[in-house]
Amino acid sequence: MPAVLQKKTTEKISTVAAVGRKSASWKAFAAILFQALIVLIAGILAIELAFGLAGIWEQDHLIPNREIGISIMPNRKITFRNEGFSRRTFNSFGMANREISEKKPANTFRIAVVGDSMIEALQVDLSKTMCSRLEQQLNDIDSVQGKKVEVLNFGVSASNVGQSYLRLKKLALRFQPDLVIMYVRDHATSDLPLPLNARFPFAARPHFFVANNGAVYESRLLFDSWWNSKEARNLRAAQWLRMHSHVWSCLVNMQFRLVTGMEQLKAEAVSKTKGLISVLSLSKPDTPTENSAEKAAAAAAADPNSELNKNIAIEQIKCVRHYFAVMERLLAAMKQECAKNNCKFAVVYIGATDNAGLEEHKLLRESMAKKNIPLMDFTDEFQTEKKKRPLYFVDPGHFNIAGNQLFADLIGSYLVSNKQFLLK
Amino acid sequence: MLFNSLAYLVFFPVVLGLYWVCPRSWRRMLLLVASYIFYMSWIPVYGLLVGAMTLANYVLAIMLHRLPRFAKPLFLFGIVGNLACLFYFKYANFLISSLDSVKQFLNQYLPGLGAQAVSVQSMDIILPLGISFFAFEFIHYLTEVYKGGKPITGFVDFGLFAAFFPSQIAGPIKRYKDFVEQLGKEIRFKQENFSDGLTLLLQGLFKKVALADNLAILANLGFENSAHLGAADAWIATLAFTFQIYFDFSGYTDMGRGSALMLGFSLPDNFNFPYVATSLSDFWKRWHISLSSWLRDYLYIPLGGGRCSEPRKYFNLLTTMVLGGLWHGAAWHFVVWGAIHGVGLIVNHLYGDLAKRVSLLRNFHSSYVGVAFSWLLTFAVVHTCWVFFRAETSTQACMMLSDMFSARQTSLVLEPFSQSPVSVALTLYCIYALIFRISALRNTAWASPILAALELKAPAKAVLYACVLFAALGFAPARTSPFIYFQF
Repeated sequence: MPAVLQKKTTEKISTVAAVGRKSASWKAFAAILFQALIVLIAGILAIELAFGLAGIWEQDHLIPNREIGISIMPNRKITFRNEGFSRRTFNSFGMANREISEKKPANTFRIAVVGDSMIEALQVDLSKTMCSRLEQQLNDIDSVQGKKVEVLNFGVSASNVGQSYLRLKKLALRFQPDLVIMYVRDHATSDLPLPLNARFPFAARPHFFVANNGAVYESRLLFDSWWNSKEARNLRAAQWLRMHSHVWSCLVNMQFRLVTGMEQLKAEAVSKTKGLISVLSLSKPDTPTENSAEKAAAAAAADPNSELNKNIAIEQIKCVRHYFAVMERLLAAMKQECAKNNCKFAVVYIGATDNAGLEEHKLLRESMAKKNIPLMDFTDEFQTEKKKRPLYFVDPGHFNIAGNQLFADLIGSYLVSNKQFLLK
Repeated sequence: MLFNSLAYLVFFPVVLGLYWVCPRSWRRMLLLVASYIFYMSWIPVYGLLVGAMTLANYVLAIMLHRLPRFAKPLFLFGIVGNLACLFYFKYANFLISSLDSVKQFLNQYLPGLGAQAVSVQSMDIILPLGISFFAFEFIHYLTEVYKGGKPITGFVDFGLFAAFFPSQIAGPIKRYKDFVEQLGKEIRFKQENFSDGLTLLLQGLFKKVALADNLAILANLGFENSAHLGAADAWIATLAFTFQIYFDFSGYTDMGRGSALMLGFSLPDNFNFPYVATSLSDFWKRWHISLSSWLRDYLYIPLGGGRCSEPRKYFNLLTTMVLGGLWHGAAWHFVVWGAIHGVGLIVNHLYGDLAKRVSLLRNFHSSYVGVAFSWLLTFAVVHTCWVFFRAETSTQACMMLSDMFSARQTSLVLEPFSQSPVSVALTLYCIYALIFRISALRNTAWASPILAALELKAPAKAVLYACVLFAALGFAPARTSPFIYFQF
């Protein structure tokens, strides 16, 4: 072979080899990526399966709701472990209830119970919630003369009185209840202003205020702006994943824990470094109380009888009264809505014993009497009984099985002894 | 800083990155600084204590080596100094409370002795983390130098031996020669080490957060309600603790060893499937190996070991185990725990001698039934001993033991157990251990195709590790428990 031809052939071979090498390296690279992808998919599926079997990361059950702020994911299966334990599936209407028909069956007396997590009662088995026990009790004693009693649970975690009012209007009344019981927890007024904790995904909710003419109005301004925000859009976009993926729920929680953890870590590192520097320099730690004005303020804050604390207490009471005016009107509006739908309305309250609770308690008793709204006040019964046995998982917290049972017993005996509630 | 904390999740990758990026000559210094940051992240001022103990032992060892004439007093001074430090922080309040109990006893039964005049107030002492481990490593170091070993000349090297963060708080108790040998070698980055280290780290994390922390909930619930439990509840709670302590401690060791391996260091293993032991002496060869070998070398053998009369041998054994129990914690129930193990070991030796002579017993113990019987008996003794270890007092331990045979029917622990994710986590761990750990030890053929299929390239391995990390954290309960051995 001539030298020129041989050179050309060699060049050609080396070019082909280079192209071949390049393509082989691409293939190898693709194979590596493919292997990683397969491992990723297999890993996610395995974790989903394991978390599903173990019933972990199945607590997420709330979804943003355009009208009410928050509602429960319909047909969602959850395993709740925060306080107590329960494993249940919400019904197709997004209620912490067994499946029911929207149309009231014949010969049935329906009681709708509206409220927050205390009514939702995720901490105990569905058969042991206050609503289930109440239904069973009233049916056992044939309380409504041959009619079957259904107690429908419209409790939703983190709902305030305003949201309960909206839920009553938009959802509960569709089920034609004969009696509506609204649960008001202690410190309910403090839930009415917009929550300050922006981290909670459902912090924004419809807001109610009393106008100069004394009527209560719903303001959607802030809620709508949140609804259109990036966070809310992301939350809605991830709804399918939130409902069906354990891995997703775990990831979201980890992200939250990571952010709060990093903040804590930073603060700890700063304080420990300062502490060490003060030890090494043998000086007193540079705390804010070094400043005499701050020292005086700290002393005033520590003294319960100081002018500062007295003023804080006065302002707190003003605040309670201000929001109580909103709550009072919302309860009256609920009564009005029930009357329009030919059903009775009552409020149930279990109060705490601290000062803010007492103020709210006093106002509620006075106001319900004035507005002629029946009030089932079980504060004393719970205070007496909880000295004998635990009624909460953590006090203050949610009712345990005994707490739910006592709650059902008290409502049941109140209704039986005040027959007008069970008459149609 | 805990290995399962967010702080470590930030700290370790930073240290690891800097370690492999910085020039070789800086690496030891970097590890020393990192180790002190790790220690001082808890109570910063205690870093000064560890620094002072390290400096004192470093100087003493050099003097021991250079001044052979004064070797004995220097050695004794060093041992007494380390023990005094340990005693002050760990046992002073125990002694005071014990004296108080004696005083109360005397006042009640012998009022004439005037014991009420004696008044000792308990002291406000916070136990520095890992003080027992530091003290034991220093005692080992001084003893070896006293016996003629070469001391560590570089202060940074010695400081690193003392404070090396992967083994700092709860061991394994290192031997200085092994560690110095590794320091002397040129440490190069090896992907294999990195991968094995990460595997160990994640294995330990899973053991700790997914298994031990979930088991801790059941054990705590049981022990908080001792004297009110039915037999089923008591058994679940005590078994939960038996496995909690294993997963907790071996998980910590795995994380420490894994971290060290990723930095190019090899730390001794502390566990070898302890709950498959078929005798108590076998158990102590498998459980907290670095402590049991330390106790053997620096307590049992100096007391005379086994090369003396039978009664003396058993006395040495009992003393070693009682002191080993006391090392774990300044409380009488730890002493009882150690004493039961000591008596158990004596019985084990006596029975072993008898079995050697009687062919019937020998044949029985070589059969499957015999092995199963030995395993069951050993596990029962170890399990019973853990009740004393976990209980806050000996009385509580006795209550718990009586609960285990009570006729009461309760579901205080049974119900949370049926709702706990621990059984799924345990099943996952057993599958992993069967494929990777046991198959490797037994060289089983069935696992080979699985292992071959899992021979992954680096990116796929990284994804797999991320999945394991995620699963471990996913199984972790909302409230984590501190490492049990941190308190020792």
